Amino acid sequence: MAVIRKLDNRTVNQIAAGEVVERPASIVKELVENSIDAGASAITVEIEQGGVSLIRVTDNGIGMDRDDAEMSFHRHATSKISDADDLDRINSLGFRGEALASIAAVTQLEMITRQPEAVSGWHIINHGGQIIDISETGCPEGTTVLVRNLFYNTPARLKFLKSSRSEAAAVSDLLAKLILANPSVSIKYISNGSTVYHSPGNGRLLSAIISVYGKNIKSDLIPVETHQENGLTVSGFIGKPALYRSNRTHQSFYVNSRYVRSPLLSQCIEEAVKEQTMINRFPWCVIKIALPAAEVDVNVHPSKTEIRFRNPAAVSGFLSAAIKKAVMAAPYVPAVFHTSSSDHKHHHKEQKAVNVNVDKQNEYPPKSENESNRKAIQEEMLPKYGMKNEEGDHTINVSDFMKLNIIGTAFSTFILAESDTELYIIDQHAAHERLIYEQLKKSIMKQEVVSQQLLPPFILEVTHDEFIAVTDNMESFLTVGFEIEPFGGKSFLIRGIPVILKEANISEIFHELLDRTDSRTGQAKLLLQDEDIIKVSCKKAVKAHDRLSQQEIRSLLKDMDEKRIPLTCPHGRPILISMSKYELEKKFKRIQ
Amino acid sequence: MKFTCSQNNFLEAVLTVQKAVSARSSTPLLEGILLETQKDVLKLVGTNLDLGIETYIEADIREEGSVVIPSRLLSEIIRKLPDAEIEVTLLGNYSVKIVCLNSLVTLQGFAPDEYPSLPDISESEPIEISKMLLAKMIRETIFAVATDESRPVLTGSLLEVEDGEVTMVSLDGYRLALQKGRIESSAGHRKVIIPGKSLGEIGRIIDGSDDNISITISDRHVLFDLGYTRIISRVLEGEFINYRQIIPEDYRTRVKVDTKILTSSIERASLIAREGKNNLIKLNLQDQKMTITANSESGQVYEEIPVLLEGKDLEIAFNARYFMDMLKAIPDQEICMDLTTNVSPCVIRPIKGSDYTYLLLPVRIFG
Ligand SMILES: Nc1ncnc2c1ncn2[C@@H]1O[C@H](COP(=O)(O)OP(=O)(O)OP(=O)(O)O)[C@@H](O)[C@H]1O
Ligand SMILES: [Mg+2]
Repeated sequence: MAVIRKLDNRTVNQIAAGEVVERPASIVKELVENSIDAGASAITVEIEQGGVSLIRVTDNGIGMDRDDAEMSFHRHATSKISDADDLDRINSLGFRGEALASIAAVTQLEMITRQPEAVSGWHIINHGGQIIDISETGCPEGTTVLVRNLFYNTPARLKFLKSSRSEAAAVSDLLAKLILANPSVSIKYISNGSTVYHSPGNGRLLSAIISVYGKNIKSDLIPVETHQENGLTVSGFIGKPALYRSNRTHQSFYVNSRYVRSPLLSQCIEEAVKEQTMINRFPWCVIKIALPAAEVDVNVHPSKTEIRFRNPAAVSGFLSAAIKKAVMAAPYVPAVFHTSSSDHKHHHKEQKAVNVNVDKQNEYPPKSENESNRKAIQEEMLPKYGMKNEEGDHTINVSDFMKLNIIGTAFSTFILAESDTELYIIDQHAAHERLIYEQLKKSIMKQEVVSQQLLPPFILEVTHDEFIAVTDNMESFLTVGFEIEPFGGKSFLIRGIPVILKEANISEIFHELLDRTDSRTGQAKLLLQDEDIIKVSCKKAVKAHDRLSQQEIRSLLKDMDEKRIPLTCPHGRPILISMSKYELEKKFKRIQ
Repeated sequence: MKFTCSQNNFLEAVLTVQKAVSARSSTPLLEGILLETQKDVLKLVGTNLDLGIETYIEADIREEGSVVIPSRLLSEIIRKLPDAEIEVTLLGNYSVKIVCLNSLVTLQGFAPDEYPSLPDISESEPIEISKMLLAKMIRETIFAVATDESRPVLTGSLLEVEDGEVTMVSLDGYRLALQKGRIESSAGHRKVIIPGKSLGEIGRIIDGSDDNISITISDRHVLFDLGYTRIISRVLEGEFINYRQIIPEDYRTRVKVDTKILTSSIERASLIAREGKNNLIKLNLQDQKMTITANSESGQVYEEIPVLLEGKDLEIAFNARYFMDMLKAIPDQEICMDLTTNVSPCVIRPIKGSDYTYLLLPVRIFG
């Protein structure tokens, strides 16, 4: 009995569409990418009801002639590659020849396209994958694709869509990423008739970022400069700690202008700014990596947001160096109060906190209100972009600490100092701790790698996974002083151990080190030592409530100047905060 | 139970057996000392199950009996009593009355019935060794016992007897200390691994007199019999590392140096070295002199010592502490260091006699 039969073309297309077309955002992505591949310098995206009822993408690219326009709906029809070898040098965003076929299969689609040199263009109507009409038409150069009634012929899949609100949000998210990926393309995004984003397309990444995040973000960005090394380029911006978030949604990575999701890159960034980061906060970044096409494989997943680097260690090493350098060059002082008229709720709460304090001013000792006020200040410090004060940046130039006028200390813990325009509050313990930490770390970096020899050598049995991890990272273990050799089966011979570990149980230390070794980068060295260094620095540093003399404060500030330390303690808490004279005047209603 | 004895004797006995009593135990009984009258002597016992010590003192026994008394409290009270006669009486419910001149103390004790009895060891012929020799062997090797548990046999010292020669070896993977001596008894080949902790206590109990001590070894225990005091320790099971294989016989560089001069140089270098993370000293052997350098955040040291140098020049680094441990233990005036390369062991012996051997593994410096 013939139970098995070949599916008709239509069904095949509908099934395949599932891989490409999941929701409106996936359609928008494919269409915009096609426009970019077509060399457009301006693209307009319009959606209605989250894109379910309508998506219109208009570009001013190269357009298509009648044949190509018809061809474009065929599965595996592409102008972008011609054979498998081309896969190794993909410079376009599309290459599968699948997107239009898939989109057309589940929508009612219209395409209007004209090549610049042609007098007239073509209007094609395709419903559910069938071209039902082709006509010649007058139209602007470029291509417009209009997609209506998503999943009209596969109602089952329609049910899986979320509310049009969240579909629209997904589209916005996507457009933000596309704008950041393509600063030289002007992208306009309209949802339900109102413009959400409009990027200038002037080629500057900063302009693209501003068109997505608003102009206030500017002062919270640290540029990551472009470096060249074997055709590898890293550029972009990393946010100052004020922009750090409780999740990774604001980390965007672009490899050869393609948005990618990469745990490797995220981890690399997080590691590089670890010292500035409070627990459970994640850095904000827009990072672009450009490298020869042959160095990446994008054909890993149909959505193309996953990539594989041929040499991941080189990329992450290079990226992390670039980030560290950028962050070091731009110390940061979080502001205490943000006065932004756009955020009334906050403004109001803050006023209240201050008022309470003023009321009780004469009460002694100033008790719990102080606590609550401090808490309010802390809350204010929590990163929230888009509510910076008009004065903008709160960075203090290193080498300026010495110029500050020392007012005194509050609660024997916080040093108060002023410049002409700012009041600085410095946590004496945090500052000192950072200084010591930097110093210790430097001296350790300088130290030779030494390894206490063992006789007889220690034989360590490990699990299969551990065996692989160790074999892969032999070098790295050596850099901390573990001399290891494979010793048949899943065991190792340890001939030498780090001298600092002399009293400890070798196998415990070894496993701890193994746990802390980053399996991708194989970096064991600092992971091992960092915690120890932090512990020591914390112990050695002056504590809160230690009374510091004027002279001691001065020398602390001087060290801060000279050592150019990051302005966070090794645990990631801020060393100092600032409040501008302007803000104070505003608080006291001296100015409006 | 009722007896009298001198405060002095009583205190000494209590302090001796207390060495085997754990300060904190899940069974309060094991925090106590067992007192038991035996005809005209008083027996005291302390044990933590790994180590047991019993000792006998003269006492005027008025009434037979036994009781367990909390060790720490007992020793502290006896210590504070005047040097006079002490009378101890067992009252009802295991409380004990202690009277000395004008002082009267009562302590709450425990029933003795459950107190563990020390194992009986008499199977083999005992080994006779002078207390002085045993004390020296312990003192000069015990510091090299491993403190970490990753290789359990190394947390003890090997005691080996063969052909009138007795050897004690400790080794922790970074160094080895070995002391040999001769003994009268002609017992056959015997060896035992004694836990470092027990050995330490034994070393503290035996005095440096010329008297003999007899050692009896069984499968699971070793007994040190001093006559009036018997010390019984559990032994460590397993095979000790073949230490003979580890000690190299050849050398390419031989240095003879005055122990005192070397000690004070290394002590100075250590002051700086220990400020750094690695506690390293570097030795440079060249031109009939040894230079010792150390540096850390805090500064640098340079020491120069005249030596007798034979063979190749060499530069080698050590953990200063391991070097000092040996120098502190060794009483000899001059020592001889045999070296091969900067990553192979350095063998140190006194110039006179070959009874003591210290082997020290260097620290390798990469770069
Ligand atoms: N906006 C456009 N302007 C000009 N040509 C276009 C446009 N959109 C599609 N095309 C043409 O249609 C072809 C098919 O597009 P489609 O998106 O289906 O495949 P692709 O982009 O080649 O690969 P992928 O499936 O990976 O996106 C493209 O190769 C291109 O030649
Ligand atoms: Mg495409």
